[in-house]
Amino acid sequence: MAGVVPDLTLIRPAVRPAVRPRRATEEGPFIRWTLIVITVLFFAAFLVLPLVTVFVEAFRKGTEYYFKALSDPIAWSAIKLTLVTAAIAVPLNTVFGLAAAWAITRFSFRGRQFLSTLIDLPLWVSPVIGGLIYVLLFGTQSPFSPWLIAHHIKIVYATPGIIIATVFVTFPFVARGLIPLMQNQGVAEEEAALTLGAHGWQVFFRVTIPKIKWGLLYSVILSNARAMGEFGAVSVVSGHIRGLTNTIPLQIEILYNEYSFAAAFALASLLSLLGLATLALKTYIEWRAGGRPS
Amino acid sequence: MKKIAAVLALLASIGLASGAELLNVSYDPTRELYTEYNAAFAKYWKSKTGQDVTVNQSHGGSGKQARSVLDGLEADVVTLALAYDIDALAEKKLLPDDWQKAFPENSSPYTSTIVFLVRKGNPKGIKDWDDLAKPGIAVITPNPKTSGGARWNYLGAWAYAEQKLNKDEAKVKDFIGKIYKNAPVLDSGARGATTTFVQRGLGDVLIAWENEAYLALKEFGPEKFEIVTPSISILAEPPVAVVDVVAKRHKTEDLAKAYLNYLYSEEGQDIAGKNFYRPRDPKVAAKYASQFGKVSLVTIDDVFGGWKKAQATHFADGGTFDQIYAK
Amino acid sequence: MSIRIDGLNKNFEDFTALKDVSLEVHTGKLVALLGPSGSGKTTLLRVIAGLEFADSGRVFFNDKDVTEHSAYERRAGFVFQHYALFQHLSVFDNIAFGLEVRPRATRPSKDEIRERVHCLLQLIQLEDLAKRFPSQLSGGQRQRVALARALAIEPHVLLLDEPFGALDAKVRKELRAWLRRFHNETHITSLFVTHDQEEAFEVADEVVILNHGSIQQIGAPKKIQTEPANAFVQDFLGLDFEI
Repeated sequence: MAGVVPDLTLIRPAVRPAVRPRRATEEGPFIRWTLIVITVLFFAAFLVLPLVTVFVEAFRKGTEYYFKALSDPIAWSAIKLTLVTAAIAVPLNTVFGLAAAWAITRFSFRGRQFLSTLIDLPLWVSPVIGGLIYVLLFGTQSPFSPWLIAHHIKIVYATPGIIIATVFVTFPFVARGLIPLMQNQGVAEEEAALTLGAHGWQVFFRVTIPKIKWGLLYSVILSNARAMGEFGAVSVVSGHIRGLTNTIPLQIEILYNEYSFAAAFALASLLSLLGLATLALKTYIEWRAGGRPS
Repeated sequence: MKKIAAVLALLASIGLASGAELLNVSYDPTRELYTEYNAAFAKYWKSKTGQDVTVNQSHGGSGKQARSVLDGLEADVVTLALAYDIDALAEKKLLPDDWQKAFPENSSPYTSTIVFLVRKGNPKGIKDWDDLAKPGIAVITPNPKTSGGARWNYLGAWAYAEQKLNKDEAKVKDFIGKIYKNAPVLDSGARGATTTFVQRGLGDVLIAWENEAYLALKEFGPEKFEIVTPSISILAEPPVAVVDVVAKRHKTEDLAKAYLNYLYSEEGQDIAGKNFYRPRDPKVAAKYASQFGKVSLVTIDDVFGGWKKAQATHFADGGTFDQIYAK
Repeated sequence: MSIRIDGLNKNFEDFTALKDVSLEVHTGKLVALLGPSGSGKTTLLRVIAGLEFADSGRVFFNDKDVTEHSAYERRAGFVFQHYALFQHLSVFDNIAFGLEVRPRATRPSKDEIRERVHCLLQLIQLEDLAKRFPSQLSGGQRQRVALARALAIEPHVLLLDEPFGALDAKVRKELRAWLRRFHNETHITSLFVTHDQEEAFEVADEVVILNHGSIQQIGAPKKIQTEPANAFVQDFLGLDFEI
């Protein structure tokens, strides 16, 4: 601020601005307040209000009903399936994302740009299409079908299909989070480690991982949030067998369609809580990553 | 490869219960019916054979559910809205062509029909199908292209018009056209249409499955809605079938057969009646007769010459629905 | 240990970084690689360290061919222009790194490592800052830590890439004198890259002048200043005014 304050000693007192000096890029108070009000209203209408509604609806029939709805065996199986799916899909994508980010930022090879674009594919296509791909790949129409049936392996309309579809939708998150970070950080520290006698894995675990740890955690959390909340792709491969292949989001839709609004919102509130916890964790991580001496 | 197979098999088994298992793939409005029936059947089966049985259920649009079974959803039995959807499975050799002969009454253990749900006090004075064609009435019905229930709605209106207008096809088409002109939205499924009418408060009248209408009444209370039964409606015969190929693989053929047969028992029929389906058994039907309105029912075979023909004439691309709705 | 380089060629796509470079650095010497930017001096240093691999030519440490050895096998201490200290490790852990990553059989004990690191901290006069993190140090301090870290592994040779390039003039002068003293005490074979001729001539026993990837002249500072080998050297050193 001080840098833009004009040298007031050269100006006659009458011309001194009554209010604090304005930056050239700063709008007048009317525009400023209009923008702030629009932002706040938008935020309230599209984010806060729905969130409050979810919790109000969830407790409409009382706390007892709320916990009964959550402990219902079918709801409980949806919760378990969601957690199992995230517990498998997220680590898988973390390993994949690390490998992809490593390959893309550290090596130059033919098709690197293409690979980098390909990683984004799940963000570009509708999740429903992602789900349909796996129905075609592993359903009865597919050439693998006889082998799968002979080995008693169910993929689509069973847990593996749900996990695969979730992996598909969430796999860009870790790679996308790490690539810009690793490109920015460069390889000097890794090179230093090499000249000090560290092998590939030592370099990775002692230098690279600590360097990218906050960015990695951040991406993993984001990917986890998406894995637990995914609806479209999972809906296609689920088969909607209650108590078996419904994840929390699918179960919410079913309950809603069965007029069990309070139960639907009870589950929705749980998913929102998971989301809010993720947000809190994410904020904490950003704060830690930013607050670190640099 | 073996290891992968083992891991996948292990994953697939997560959440599976012990004892015998059956998967019933059904359509949207039967959720409550089968939740109750499955519990009753499990009890019956345990007392009869000593075996524990878990019946899993999956619900969705009838056509979509048939599609999933074709794609590999391992249904031991299907209980769908239309014979047409089960025919699609027979075409792919999942069950024999004459599947409809496997159980009594054309393999339809319960029937239903199409009625109207209106707002309390019937402010628009809707009594019969011709009231739906009047200007200024907003009609809620799903899209016949995607919804099985919507096709029944369409054919119900058609049957009424045909009788009333002496089978003059041009006039019948004009009549149906007026009804669909009154429809502000066409939801993709029966439940979606119900939600539009009940939750979003859109429209003056909902054309609905009889059981859907009664269920909505039960959930939201007679102080909000009432049911109007038209003079003529169509007899909807939702069929059931064992998916032979899957049941053979699961070695559940006998269980699946017993499961569907028990729908015809007194207890099965009673549960159907309780969930607002019309029981086939005359004794049970009499017990529930008072809960349904009086209606003259026509069958799809009599008026439309069966589902295959009805499908081709009315709902295939370029069929009467396309002709009417394009106008 | 001596370094011998034989006919190195290195291209980056269509840019020639090194063209038939041969050079010998005798044991215990402190040699400067001097040249304008883009002359290939840093590439040469990185090829010797094993951070880059040449298209052709060989690298020997004493008489051992290390051309195919990777960086971690060469035991060449490397000091980077921008320090490349491990940001997440303390000064102590930075210096200890090269010892900690050794295979168990050759890894010194915890006590030995502590002792060794403290010796080095003494050498660089930063004993009080062992627990600090790199971000809490000044540029000159960071560079001394980087040097200590490279020395901790008891390197066969010491390679320094513009070691004082990022420092201000005063600190640069101090460190330069310090490096000369340090080399006089240890006599570790050292090769350092610089574009600053004053630095090269003041510190080095021998100066190698590079341009466009090839060596223009090798010789003692005095000799080069009095007998430039060609017009480039003469021009680059700005000698035309002094002659």
